[in-house]
Amino acid sequence: MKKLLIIIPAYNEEKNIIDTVNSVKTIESDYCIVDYVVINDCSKDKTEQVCVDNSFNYISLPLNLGIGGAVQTGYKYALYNEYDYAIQFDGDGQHNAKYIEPLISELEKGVDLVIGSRFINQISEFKSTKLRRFGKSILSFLIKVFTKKKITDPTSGFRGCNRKLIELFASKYPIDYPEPDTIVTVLKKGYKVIEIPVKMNERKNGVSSINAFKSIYYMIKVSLAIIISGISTEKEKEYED
Amino acid sequence: MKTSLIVFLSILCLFLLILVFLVIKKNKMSLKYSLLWITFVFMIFISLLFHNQVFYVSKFLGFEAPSNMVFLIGFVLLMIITFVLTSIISRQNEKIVALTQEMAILNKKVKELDDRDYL
Repeated sequence: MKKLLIIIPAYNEEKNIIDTVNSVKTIESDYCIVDYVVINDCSKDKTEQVCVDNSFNYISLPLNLGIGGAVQTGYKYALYNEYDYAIQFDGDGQHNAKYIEPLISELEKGVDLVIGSRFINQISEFKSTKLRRFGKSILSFLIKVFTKKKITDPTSGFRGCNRKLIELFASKYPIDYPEPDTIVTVLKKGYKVIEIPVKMNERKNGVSSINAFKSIYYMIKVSLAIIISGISTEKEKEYED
Repeated sequence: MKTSLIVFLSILCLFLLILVFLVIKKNKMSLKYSLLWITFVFMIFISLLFHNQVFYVSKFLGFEAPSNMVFLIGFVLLMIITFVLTSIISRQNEKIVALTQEMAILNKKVKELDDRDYL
C-alpha cells in the first residue's frame, strides 16, 4: 500500500483549521493510506493550541518562514517519512476535500504534478476581481512562453505530486509565492504536469496573503522568478507521453 | 597636497584600523570580512603615500580633478561590498530556513518519543 501525505500550511488559521483538518481526516482511498500534517507557520493566534487540544498531527515552526518555507517543511517531512505522494491543501478553508480523490487517481496514473484549477472547464463560480484575473493571465502567458504548456491556474495552492517531486521540492523550493515558479521548474525539467477542475470556496475567515498593495510587487517578483527558472532550468528527463 | 591634510587622513586611517581590530577582538566581526575593511584602509593609506602618482594617473586617464577619480573608485568599491553583502545575507537566509525546518521536524519527533515514554 502506498502512503500519501496531505500538507496543510496554516498561518493564523485558528478559526478554519479544525474544519479543514476534519474534512481531510475522513478521506479514504483505495490506492493508498492517507495521512495529513498541519504546518503551523509560527502563527500569532491560537493555531498551535487548537492543534494540541484536538491532538492533530502538526509541526510548529519556531520562526515565520512564509508559505514556501512552510510547505517545504511538509515536503521534507514527507521525504523523511517515506511518503509516495504529497498533496498541498490550504489551511484557510478555500480548498474542498472532495477533490483530493481525483488528484490521487491522477497521481496513480503516473502524472508527476497535478494542479487543482479553478478556471479549467469553468466548473467553479469562484469570484475573482478583474485585476486578479488579468494578473493570472499574464502569469499563464509567461509560463506558456517558457514551457509551451497552458496552465490555467498558475497560483493554485491545491496540488499533488509524487515521490520524485517530493525529493525535488524538499531540496529546493522558493520561499515566497512558490506556485508559478515551481510549475515552470517542473515542466522545464521534463516532468508531466496536468490540471484538473476543482471548485474552491470563498475564504471564510482571515485575509488572503496577497492584498491590493502588494499585488504589483507580487507580479514583478513572480514574473522575474518565472523568467529566471524558465531560462536556467536544465532538462532532466525525456517527456514520455 | 598639503601636509596637514595628509596627517589628518592618516589619523583617520589609523582610527579605522584600530576600530576594525577592536571589533574583531570582541568577536563582533569574523576575520574573513574584516580583511575586506583592512584592505580598504590600506588602499587609502597607500594612495596617501603616493598621492603624486595618484594625481598623475588621474590626469593620464582624463579626470578633471583627482578627487573625481578617488570618489569613483571609492563608490565602485562600496558598491561591490554591498553586492557581496546582499548575496551573503541571501545565503544565510536560506540556511536559517533550512535550520528552522529541520528543527521543527526534530521537535515533533522528540515530542512523539516523549509521549511514548510516558505511556
